[in-house]
Amino acid sequence: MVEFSLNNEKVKYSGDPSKRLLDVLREKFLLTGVKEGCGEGECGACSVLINGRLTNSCITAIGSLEGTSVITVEGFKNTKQYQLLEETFAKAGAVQCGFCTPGMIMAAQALLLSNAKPTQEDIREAISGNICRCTGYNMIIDAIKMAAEQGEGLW
Amino acid sequence: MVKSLKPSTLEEALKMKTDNPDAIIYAGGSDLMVAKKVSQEILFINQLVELKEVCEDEEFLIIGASSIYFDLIENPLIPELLKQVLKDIASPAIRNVATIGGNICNASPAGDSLPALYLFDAKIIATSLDDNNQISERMIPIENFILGIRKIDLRPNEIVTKILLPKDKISVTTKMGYKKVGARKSQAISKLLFVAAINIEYGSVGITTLRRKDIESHYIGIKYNELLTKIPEIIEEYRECLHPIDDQRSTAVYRKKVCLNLLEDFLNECK
Repeated sequence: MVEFSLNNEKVKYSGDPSKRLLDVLREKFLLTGVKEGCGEGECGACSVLINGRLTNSCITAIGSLEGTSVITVEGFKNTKQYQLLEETFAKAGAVQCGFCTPGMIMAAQALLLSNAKPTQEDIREAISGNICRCTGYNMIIDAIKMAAEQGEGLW
Repeated sequence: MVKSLKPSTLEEALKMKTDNPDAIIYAGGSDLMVAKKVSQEILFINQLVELKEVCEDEEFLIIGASSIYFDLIENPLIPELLKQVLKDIASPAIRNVATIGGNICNASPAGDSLPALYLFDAKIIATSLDDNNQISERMIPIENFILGIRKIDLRPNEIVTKILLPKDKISVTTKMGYKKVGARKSQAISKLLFVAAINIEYGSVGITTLRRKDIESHYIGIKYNELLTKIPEIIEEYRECLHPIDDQRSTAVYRKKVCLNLLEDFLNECK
């Protein structure tokens, strides 16, 4: 049995502790914002925040989560920070196929939580574990920069 | 179903490991979950704060084995060279979970933290409970702890709890060189990784997991100007003992050439 907080609600899981957080989120909690790209921590499509830190849910065993707080893109959705990121991602053309987008949004949030005024290099570093095969990254970097500039006081 | 062992203290963890010698130890999970190793039991040590402490005594800098890369990078006690290496490993999401003890125990030939730890003459502390249930520690130099590819000198009832870096080693390493060669900047597993340190007084030079103290000993104590004249000779000595491999990431010829070029650059620039 593992007890943790998922999107600010207390949840319990009593299945196999070696199961990937990614699978538990998608199959048990029906949170399909997390995507499986590579399944080995290389692509970032499954990114979530665990205790505020960006983490790949595909290489996190559910049994390791006792007492932690997990936030997925669904849990982040009803915040002003998310709304601004959604707006700037749309404006910058940072979404094409959309598969990497939930992970990119979580990576952007993790960055802005620790650094509200990132440089371009900081942004590149922050999304360096998130692969996008459509945009060529520049639009995503623009979107995060825009959110940081417009988000005075939000982060 | 896999059984979950969740100790709340180190002592409890050691007891569990004694009772379940086949249990797989889960610290950060970033290698383990990719390798998909299976066992009947998983021993989760990721929550044990006592394994994440970094402190120092007279002789050693003591790094808790479950210390996470991100925390080590932020910690002022950690030597700059080790920080540089850790900053270049994988991606932010991996550095938020991966542990230094995990990198050592995974014993990959491409384990990025290893060359720096060899250079600092790191000692590994393997901890277990003795017959009287007292905590007992075994100190093993890193070059003896890592026996080969994915092979380590760790007994079934032991857990790696600390990594010790001799403080005199850290303080004499005045000039350091580091270069990771990979296919891209982030996420890449190293084709090769070069770490070197030279102390102008002692003139010692070290190279990756191939560390040749015998070669270093030939140059201890010489002046930098003299060292400069000996560069071709040093390169030759290392050329003879470097035997890299061909694999999917690179070729032996490339690796050897780059290793020697990096050594040459380092020696020329370490004034």
